Amino acid sequence: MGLRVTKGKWGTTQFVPVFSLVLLILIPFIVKDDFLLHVIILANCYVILSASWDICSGYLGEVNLGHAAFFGLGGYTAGFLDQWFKISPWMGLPIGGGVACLSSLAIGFASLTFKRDYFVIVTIAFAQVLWSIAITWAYVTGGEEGLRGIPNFTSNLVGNYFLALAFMLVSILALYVITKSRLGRIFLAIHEDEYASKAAGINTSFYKIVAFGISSFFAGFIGSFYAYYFGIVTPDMLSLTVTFNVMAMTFMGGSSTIFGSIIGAYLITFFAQYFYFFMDYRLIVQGLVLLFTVLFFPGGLIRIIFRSAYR
Amino acid sequence: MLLEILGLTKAFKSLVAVNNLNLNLGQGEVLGIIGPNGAGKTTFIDLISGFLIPTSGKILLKGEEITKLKPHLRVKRRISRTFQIARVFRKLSVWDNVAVACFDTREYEQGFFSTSPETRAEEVLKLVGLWEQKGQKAGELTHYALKKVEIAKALATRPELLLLDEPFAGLVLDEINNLMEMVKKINQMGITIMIVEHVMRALMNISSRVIVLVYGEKIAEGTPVQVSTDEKVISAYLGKEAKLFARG
Repeated sequence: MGLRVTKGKWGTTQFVPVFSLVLLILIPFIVKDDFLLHVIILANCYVILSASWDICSGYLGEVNLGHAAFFGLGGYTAGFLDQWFKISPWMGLPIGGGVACLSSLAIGFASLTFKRDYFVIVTIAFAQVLWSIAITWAYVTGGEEGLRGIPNFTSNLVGNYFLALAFMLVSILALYVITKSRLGRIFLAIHEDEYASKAAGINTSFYKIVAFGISSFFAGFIGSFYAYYFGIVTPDMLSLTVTFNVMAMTFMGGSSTIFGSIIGAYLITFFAQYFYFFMDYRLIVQGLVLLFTVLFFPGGLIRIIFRSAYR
Repeated sequence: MLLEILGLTKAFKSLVAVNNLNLNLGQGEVLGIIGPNGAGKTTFIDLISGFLIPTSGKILLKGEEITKLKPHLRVKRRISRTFQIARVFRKLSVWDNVAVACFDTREYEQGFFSTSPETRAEEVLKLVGLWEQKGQKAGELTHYALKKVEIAKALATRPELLLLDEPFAGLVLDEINNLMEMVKKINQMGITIMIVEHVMRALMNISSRVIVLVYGEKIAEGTPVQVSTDEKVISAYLGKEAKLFARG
């Protein structure tokens, strides 16, 4: 299931990531295209969102249909922290992640200790409730207009570009290390056979909540960044469309791989941004491509591109 | 006394799977459980391991009640089980299968499995003879090897009481003999064993005591020889096979 790297050989598995990373670092210096930089920043945000969904839903197997709730919670937390307490963005990021994580622990405790299907329903309901609150409680949340005037980390686009890139790399590495640790193997075991995991002495409810908490922390963290980058949070961040997009990214790239999210998120974000004129048909095309991937390459694109590494 | 079972009953609506069962199990014993299909043997294992909660009755482990304790907490109290159809993590390697079972038992006491989870996984894999295959995906293993992984997973949790649910099912003669030796070795390490089995030759060979369940009730109890010559048991379950055993 995991990544297998053949030592000593310089193949696709080594070449593609290193080349891509070098390219990403050089792009701002070579290309003077602000829109491209903006799209890459967006893609990096979605990589984190998608990879964090993967750890709870891909690795552990608990399908979270309310991932947008934690993304949005991070965003709104950043907004409130600025408007009420004038707290710096650097503090806002971990606090956004923390708020998302804490609320996921409460939701997880209420739903994951019971039967499996509860979780899907509770997460989707949670996201819908937050979305409704964001819209109707306009006095606090700004309603459909959202919260505006949230300060940027830096007004410099290149600065934001490198911040997003750094956050993406660190988050992906952190999530990857988790999946390779004891925790990751316990997640996979629970995914495969919950009964057998219990017989192996694993407190399955506890580990489900842990996975959900980790997943939500990263979603909240990047939600805060998203808010600081755009300078605005709107109820759109909490919408079901975000969750479905993230799911499509994970499945297209390859679920239970973490790195697959990079491919999925980049492809879908680029497609969505560069084919904006195609907006009306975008979801149809995206749906068809996703259907095609799931039917013919159920392992996702990463397992095709890096065939030898993912057997 | 390691395990005491008092008036244990489990009913699924109108079907009584285990009916008012009483049993004492001493440290170091190997208790065989036999009975026809549907006699409640696996239900009994499920009740002791916490996968089912009894309708009435009590289960005491070293005098402490564990009747309603969750499965993973019973594992921490050193009760481990295997499943009739091996439930291994097929996508994980053999090593990971065993390592996962080591992770959640946090304290590392003195004794046979005295050290860290990794060392314990190694000890267990060597004990069951799977050390050479540790890197292989469990899903690629033979039926026999899967049975061994199942036992290894249970051993990795450092049980004092090991519940084996039909470990010999579907194995050929040589494999049964090897596994039988392994079970004896595990018992010699001081682990008490409760074993449900249909392969009578193996069961009679390794058990120090046998109980017979029919329709959830215990109809006989005694040494293998006593049970295999019991008229009630012969008519309810053993049939001709028992006479062969009685003759030796």
